[in-house]
Amino acid sequence: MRHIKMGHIALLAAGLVAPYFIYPVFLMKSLCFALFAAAFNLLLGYVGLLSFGHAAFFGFGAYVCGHAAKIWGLTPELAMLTGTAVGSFMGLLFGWLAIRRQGIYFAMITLAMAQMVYFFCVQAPFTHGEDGIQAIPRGFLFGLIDLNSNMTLYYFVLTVFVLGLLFLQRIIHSPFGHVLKAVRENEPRAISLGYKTHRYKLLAFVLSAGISSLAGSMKVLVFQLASLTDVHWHASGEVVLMTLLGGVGTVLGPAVGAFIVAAIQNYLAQIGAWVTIIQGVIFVVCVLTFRRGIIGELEAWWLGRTRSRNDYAPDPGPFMEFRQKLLDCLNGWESTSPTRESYLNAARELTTWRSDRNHPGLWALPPLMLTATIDDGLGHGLEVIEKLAEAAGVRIHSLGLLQSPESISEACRKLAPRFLGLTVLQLDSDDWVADIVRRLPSSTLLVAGGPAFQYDEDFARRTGTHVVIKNGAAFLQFLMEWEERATA
Amino acid sequence: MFEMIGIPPQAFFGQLLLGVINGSFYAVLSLGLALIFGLLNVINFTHGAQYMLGAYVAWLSMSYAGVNYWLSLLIAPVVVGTFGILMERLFLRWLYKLDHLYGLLLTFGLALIIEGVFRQFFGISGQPYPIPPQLTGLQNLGFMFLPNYRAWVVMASLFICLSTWLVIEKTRLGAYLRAATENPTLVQAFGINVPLMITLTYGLGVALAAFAGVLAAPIYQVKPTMGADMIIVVFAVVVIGGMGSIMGSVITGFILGLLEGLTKVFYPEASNTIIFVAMAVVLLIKPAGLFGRIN
Amino acid sequence: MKKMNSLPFLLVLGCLMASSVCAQVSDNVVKIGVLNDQSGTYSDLSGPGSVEAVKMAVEDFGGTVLGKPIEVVFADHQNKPDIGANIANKWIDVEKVDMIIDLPTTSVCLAVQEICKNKNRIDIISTGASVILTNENCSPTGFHWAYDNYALAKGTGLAMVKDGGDTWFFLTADYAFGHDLEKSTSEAVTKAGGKVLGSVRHPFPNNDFSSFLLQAQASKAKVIGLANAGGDTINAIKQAAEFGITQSGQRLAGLLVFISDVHSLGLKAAQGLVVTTGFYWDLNDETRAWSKRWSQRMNGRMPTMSQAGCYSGALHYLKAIQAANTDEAKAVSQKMRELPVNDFFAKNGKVREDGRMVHDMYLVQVKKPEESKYPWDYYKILRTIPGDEAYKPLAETQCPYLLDKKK
Repeated sequence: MRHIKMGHIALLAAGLVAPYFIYPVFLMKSLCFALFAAAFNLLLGYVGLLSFGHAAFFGFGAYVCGHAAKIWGLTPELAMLTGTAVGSFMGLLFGWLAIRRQGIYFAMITLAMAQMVYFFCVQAPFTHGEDGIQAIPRGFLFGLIDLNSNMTLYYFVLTVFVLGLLFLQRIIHSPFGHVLKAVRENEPRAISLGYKTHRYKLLAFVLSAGISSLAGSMKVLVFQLASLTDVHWHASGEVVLMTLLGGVGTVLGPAVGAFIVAAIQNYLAQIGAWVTIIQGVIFVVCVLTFRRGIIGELEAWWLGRTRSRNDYAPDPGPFMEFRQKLLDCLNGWESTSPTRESYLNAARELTTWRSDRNHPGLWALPPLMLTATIDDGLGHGLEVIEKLAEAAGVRIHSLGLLQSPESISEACRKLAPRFLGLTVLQLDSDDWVADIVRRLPSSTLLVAGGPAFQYDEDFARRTGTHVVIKNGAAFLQFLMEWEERATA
Repeated sequence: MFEMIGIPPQAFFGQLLLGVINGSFYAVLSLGLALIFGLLNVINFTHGAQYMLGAYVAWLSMSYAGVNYWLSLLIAPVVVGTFGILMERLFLRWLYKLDHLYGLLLTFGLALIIEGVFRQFFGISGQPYPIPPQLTGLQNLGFMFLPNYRAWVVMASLFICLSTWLVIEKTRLGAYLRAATENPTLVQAFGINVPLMITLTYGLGVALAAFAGVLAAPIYQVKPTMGADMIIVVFAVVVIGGMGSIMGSVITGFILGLLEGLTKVFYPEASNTIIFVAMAVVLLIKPAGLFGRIN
Repeated sequence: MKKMNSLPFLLVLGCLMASSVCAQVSDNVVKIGVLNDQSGTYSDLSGPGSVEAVKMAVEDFGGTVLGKPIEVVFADHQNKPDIGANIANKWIDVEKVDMIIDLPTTSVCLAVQEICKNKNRIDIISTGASVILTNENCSPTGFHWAYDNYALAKGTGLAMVKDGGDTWFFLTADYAFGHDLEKSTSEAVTKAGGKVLGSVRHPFPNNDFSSFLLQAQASKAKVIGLANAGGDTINAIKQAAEFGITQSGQRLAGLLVFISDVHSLGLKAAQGLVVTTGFYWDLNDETRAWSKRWSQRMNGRMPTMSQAGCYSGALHYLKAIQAANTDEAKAVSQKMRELPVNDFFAKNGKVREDGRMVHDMYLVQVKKPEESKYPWDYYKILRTIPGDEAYKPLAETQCPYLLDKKK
């Protein structure tokens, strides 16, 4: 960790002195594209959605910022904010439409919408079509700092870039970011765990669009020019190239890719068509052999082992420790027949142990379990189940005692939990249970126990109950086995 | 009624006919792409470059070897198809186990390389390719003059589309192809050479692209960027038609040709963009495309 | 008394010293940057050919000016204003480029001319077309050399109306250049007594013109004006031939056609096309001699007006530096306007105050295949249009600093 931090500080130091050695305008261009690529990567690397239309946000944000600075006379930071705001709103609109689809269809919808934005930009008078918005003033930052000097502007751009990356880093390593990665790995599973994946994806899309617009707005101040190039689908293709080259799913990767692609375009500008060929070769090489990209490969080499993409998984250590504790409990209960008290005590102990260490339990993303009874007015058995489940890390939502089948089914339909926990006392509740099972969402398991199951061995089969639980120990056993199977 | 729209009926029908002609062109272009995606689940972005290669093979063979148009119609698909098979053997087969999008990125990179090389050697303006003498001339249809060559394009497209559909859906070879791509392990257990089937399928799709290139050479400039201009539109056609359905992309090609033709009459500036509007609308209402099925 | 006698001597000595100090060349080198499209749509009509033309100008001038070497650099702006602006800025800030020449694509011209104006450098536009470069967007150090929209529109429009083509229909590329060209030509046509029956705007760029040509056919206009350029014009002409447009009596007016386009099309498709051009390689012995030299360096191709214009512009620039004794932009620009332009490209060409280089234009027609005797024998000259007649009169200028002067 420390080494990575030192690496970052070294990069920042390099960034601070770079303009004295390398042409600042080239550096600023690269920084803008680096931010754009990083924003794009939020969607590709961390949510798993490949968008072919990101140029729409980059370029339209650029136009809005340029127009705001030139025609409305806003100071640069306000113009940039306007561009970002418009871009985020566009992201909301486009995202809401596109998120409903996946994979190639998602890519195609984003492409279609970007083409429409391109067409709008060609036709709309404020963009001046092919000429673009020219002679955009750099202005005075906050009304005080003159941005016309390349050096001053460079430090401003560097600051915005660093802040942008930090912001993205923060998002990725937050609980929100963890859910995004879960969605990327296995969306149906995330849904079955009770997460409203649509909202998470939409928010990620809006953030990605907003930061892309910010990058575009910044670029406009650097070049003092907004043009159709920025909204053309080639720009969308270039950002894919940058991200792929630098490393999908790493924070710095896209930035590195952006610098390299900008350098190729800049220093090889004389050789015309060869630039296209080189870009093509990079694509091919990256896809065939270099899939982790530059930063990805560096990370893997540095860590000395193949890094799994699933880097949000905490150290296996605490998990093993917790499992061991559960196994110890189970072993302890095997020889004796534990009482209700001992179950509740054990559950309380485990829960305290977990909250002391901020430990999530058996799962990094806890599953949701609804509990209820239909014919049990006391709920003693259910209480044990609930407490043990909580100890293991399950999220419990208690519907209450003596619930009607209709209200249970309704709740399951709305919340789509992983488990439904029921205790059943009486044999003639079988109709009700069967009814509930019939109306369960396909991803919900009915986990049930109680006297009805003990008296009648056929009760479970008749009603369609998925899992029958004899006692607290059996329930804990079931949870551990289910966790093992699910992660296998 | 036509007076209200503001154009005489003759002109209107002329535009519709042109729309049908363009539609047939889109159909034969998207056929290869739909075939490759439908059977192989590979998104072949190189399709545009392969189309361009077909046109160039025709032009080169005419300029240096005097090969006429009709021979080129046979030779170019074979030559480019072979090249496609090489591509598949060397590059694509490593990616079948991965996410589709890697295939897309790889073929996109290959398209850039092919286009760049041709731009470097042939320049950008393009080369003229003459309409074959047997097909020059016009038919006076009353409401417009129809060039014979364009009529030929419609007929050739329909013929090729129908034959391909027949081969894939109704013959034994087609059945093998479909089975091999749906369930490779099982079919391989029956003793059928599955990798060969896959390679052949890819080669067939590429050959279709090259065929479309030869069809295009006399009417559009033969230039290195001709593929890049087309590829996005063709993708839209395939996506709207339904990416698994061959018949779907053919029918959609015609529909979109008509739609584009109508747009050229009423709002010509938007005629390049109308396809994307259609694509967005279709994808939102029927995500698998008009005729497709989500696997 | 003695002191007063030595004063004039000292003064003369002082002036001599001062003038040798004044012969200053910034950074001890004169660098010319050729900025154009090296690999895209316009690479054949400008591209590497323009670079060769400028190199030839430097060689013919002697390789040095005011005792300092002359260097030529080039770059590809890929027809994108941001790339062009980036290169121009880098050239001026870092690589000490003194003059930027060629510049196809009006959007790039605008950006670069603005930069040169702000940073006091000279730009000579040989390929860019729009007349706003010497009007609304004029620059005291900016020059427009080979041709412009106005001259083309007036030349072709006027000529065809006089020749009986008095009803027009436009096929216009839907972007600023196309609109501009359509507008200029419409004005020229109506002024000459003709009538514009209608127009249709096609997307830019576009492949299939069949539907637009059909609309043109339906209009029954005598002349179909192609207000587009490059690949669009080529495709339109090709497809017009295919649809029998010219056979049924309508004529095509290519408003911006370069000889490289005609070469691409082939005479069979392009024959009969009426074009206004600023240069033709086969015009006279001088043009032939220069073009043959250029052709040897360029694989047997023949130069377009842009490429020849680059030679002329660069040569005149170097002469102006010599005359001004410095390479400082304003002083050199002054000299460029004072000196007449006399080379194979322009005889008695004059650089006006708005930066426009006024020279004779030529109305040409593309030959039939059987009329062409040798490679690149494509044009027959219909008429020479004197410079003052061809270009927009200075009295109608929209150039801000000239308008200010008038006030």
